[in-house]
Amino acid sequence: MQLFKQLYNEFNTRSYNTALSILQNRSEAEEVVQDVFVEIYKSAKNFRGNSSISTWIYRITINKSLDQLRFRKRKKRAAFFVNLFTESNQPALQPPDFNHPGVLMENKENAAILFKAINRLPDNQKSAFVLSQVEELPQKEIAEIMLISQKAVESLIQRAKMNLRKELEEFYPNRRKSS
Amino acid sequence: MEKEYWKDRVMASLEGIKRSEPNPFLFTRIELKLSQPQFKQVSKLKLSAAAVALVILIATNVWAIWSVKKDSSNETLSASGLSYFQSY
Repeated sequence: MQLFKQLYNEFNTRSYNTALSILQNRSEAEEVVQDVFVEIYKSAKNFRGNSSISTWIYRITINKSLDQLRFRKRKKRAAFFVNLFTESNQPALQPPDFNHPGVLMENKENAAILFKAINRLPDNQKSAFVLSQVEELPQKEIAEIMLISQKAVESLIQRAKMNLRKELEEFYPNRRKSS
Repeated sequence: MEKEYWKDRVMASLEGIKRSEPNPFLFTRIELKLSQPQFKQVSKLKLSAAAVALVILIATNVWAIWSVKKDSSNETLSASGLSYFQSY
């Protein structure tokens, strides 16, 4: 357990921040981190050492975060159908803007907009973008985490950036030209 | 042009981002999860196989009951037919 605690101390923030950037929800991210380390504890004997421990932990975190995202979408769809058949006057809840606690003060407003746009990316682009821009991992490591080629990572990040710029069109504030 | 400049600034808003710390009691929660007994989960494949076996069993039983009923009604007919001939 002592070794496990050391492992946790070394990697918990990396896992948490990755999950947080994908899920954009602190309590869900903490749940994912718990699940990640429970899985690490249980499957440690299956770790073949083909990749580094950090790569392994990032991979489990990404997979569990994406699973949680899919679960959230299914729950939303189920709630939508329930509302069709029940007289529910509750308005659809809009998730509040996500403010990453690590973002610099002067960038908070823009970062909140960027995270809204990140939320609309396909899973693989989202993962590649988060690992590259938030975790600042090199493309070689991202390729090992996502089990794809480095070229594929480069392509995913480029497409993510392109799609993000397209999504930002919707969020551009209607400003009057300043004189 | 202003819009593109705004987009550039938004895209750059994660620069200098610092890692956030999770709840300090997270490890305690993990230890708690590990100490709880795990119920053995039946795999979906085994569950599906059991469901199929049950359906086959029920269908077989229904068919058997239906066959027995059909046979007994045939026997009743032939018995009544026999008694008809016997009367002649």
